Amino acid sequence: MKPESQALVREFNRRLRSALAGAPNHVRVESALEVESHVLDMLSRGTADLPETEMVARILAGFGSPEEYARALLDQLPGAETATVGSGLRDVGLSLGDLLRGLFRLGLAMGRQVRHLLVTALKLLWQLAVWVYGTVRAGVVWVRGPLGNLRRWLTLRGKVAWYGLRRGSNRGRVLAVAGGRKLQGAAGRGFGGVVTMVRSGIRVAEWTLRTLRTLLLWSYRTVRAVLLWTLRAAGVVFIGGLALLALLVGGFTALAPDIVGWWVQVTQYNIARTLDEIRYQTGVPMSDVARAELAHTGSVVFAVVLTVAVLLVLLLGYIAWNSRRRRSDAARPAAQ
Amino acid sequence: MEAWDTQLRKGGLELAVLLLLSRHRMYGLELIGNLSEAGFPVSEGTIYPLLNRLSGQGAVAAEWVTGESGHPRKYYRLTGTGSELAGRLVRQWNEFASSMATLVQGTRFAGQGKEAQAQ
Repeated sequence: MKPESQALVREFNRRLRSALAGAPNHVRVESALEVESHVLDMLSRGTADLPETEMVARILAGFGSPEEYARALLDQLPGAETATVGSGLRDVGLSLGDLLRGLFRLGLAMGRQVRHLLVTALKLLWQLAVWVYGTVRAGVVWVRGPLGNLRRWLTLRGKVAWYGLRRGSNRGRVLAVAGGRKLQGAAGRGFGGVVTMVRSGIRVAEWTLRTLRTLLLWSYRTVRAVLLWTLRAAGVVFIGGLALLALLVGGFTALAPDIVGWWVQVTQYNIARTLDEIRYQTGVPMSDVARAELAHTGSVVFAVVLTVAVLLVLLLGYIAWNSRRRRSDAARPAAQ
Repeated sequence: MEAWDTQLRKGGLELAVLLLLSRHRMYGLELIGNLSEAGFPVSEGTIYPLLNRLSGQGAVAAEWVTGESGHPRKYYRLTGTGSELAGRLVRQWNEFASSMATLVQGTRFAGQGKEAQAQ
C-alpha cells in the first residue's frame, strides 16, 4: 500500500479504536486488524483503474464512519456501552461520571499530543545536528581542497615553466593535465558540500514548519477541548445549583410558608439597605416611597427569576433525556 | 416494496451466513462475495458486526491465518453450537416457507416467482 493509503487506514483505525473505548481490548485490536486485512484483500483484487488512495477511501466507506462502525460492533456485544463524545452544550445534563471519564480522555489526548510534539522536536534537533555537521564538513573540504590544490597547481605551473611547456615538452604537458584534474576534483567536492548544505537546510526548514504546524494544531485542539469541557462543567454546575436552589425553595414553601415569608422580607430589607448605600455613596436623591417600591419590585423580580430557572431546569433536563433516547433508538436499527 | 425485500433479506442474513460457513471456513471478503452471489448484497459495516456477534455467542470461531496473501486474514468457521443454531433456523425457515406456500397456493399469484426460479 502507498503511504497515502496507509495514512487513510491508520486514521480510520485510530478513530475506530477511540470510539471503541468501552469495548474489551481484544475487540479494539482485532477490529482494527480486520479493517486493514479487508482493505488489503480488496486491493489484491485490483483497483479497477482508480487511484489506489481513492479505492481505499471507497473500501473504508463501506464500513461507514468509524464511529458508526464502532457503534454497530458495540451494539452486538452484550453489556458494552458505546463511548461516544457528544457536543458541549447539547449534553448539558450529563452525569458527573461521564464528565470525569471525559476529563480522563482529554488528558490522554493531550498526552498523545505532547508525545508527538516531543518526538517532532527531537527529530528537528537531530536534523539540525546533521545540518551543522554537513556544513562544517563541507567548509573543511572547501578550505583544504581548493587551497591545497591551488598550492599544488602553482607548484605545477612552476614545474611546467621549468620543463618548458611552451617549447612542447611532454613532461610539462602531463603535469599540466594532472594539475587540472586535481583542481576539478577539489571543485567537485566543494560543490558537493554546497549541495549537502542546501539539502540539509531544506530538511531543517521542513521540520521547523512541521513542528510549528503541530504546535498550532495542538494548541487549537487543547484550547477547544478545554473550552468545551469547561462549558459542560459550568453547565452541569449551573443547572445543578439552580436545581438545588429550586428544591430548597420549593421544599420550604411546601413545608414552612412562614419561613418563606420571612425570607422575602429579609430580601426586601437587604435590597433597601443596598439602595440606601447607593444613595449615600452617590448622593442621588430618592424618596422613602420610591425606596420601598424598588425593594418590593426587586424581591418580586427575584421570585420570578427563580420560577423561570426552575422551568428552565426542567426543560433542559427533558431535552437532554430526549436527545439521549433518540440517539440510542437511532443506533439500534443501524446495528441491524 | 423495496423496504419489505430489504427487511426480508436482513432477517435471513444470519441464517445465510451460518449456511455458507457450514460448507467451509471463510474470511470476511469471501463471505461478502458469496453472499452477494446468493442474492444477499451486504456491506462491510453489516457483516463484520454480525460475525462478531455470532463469535460472541459461540456460533462461529475465528482464527487469524497468514497464508499466500502475505498478510494475516481472519477466518471464521462454524462450531457445534453454530450447527445447532443453523439447524434450528433452517427448521423455522422451512415452517415459515411452508406456511407462506400454503397461503399462496390456490390464489392467482400461485405461478409468480416460479419463472425467476426456473431462470
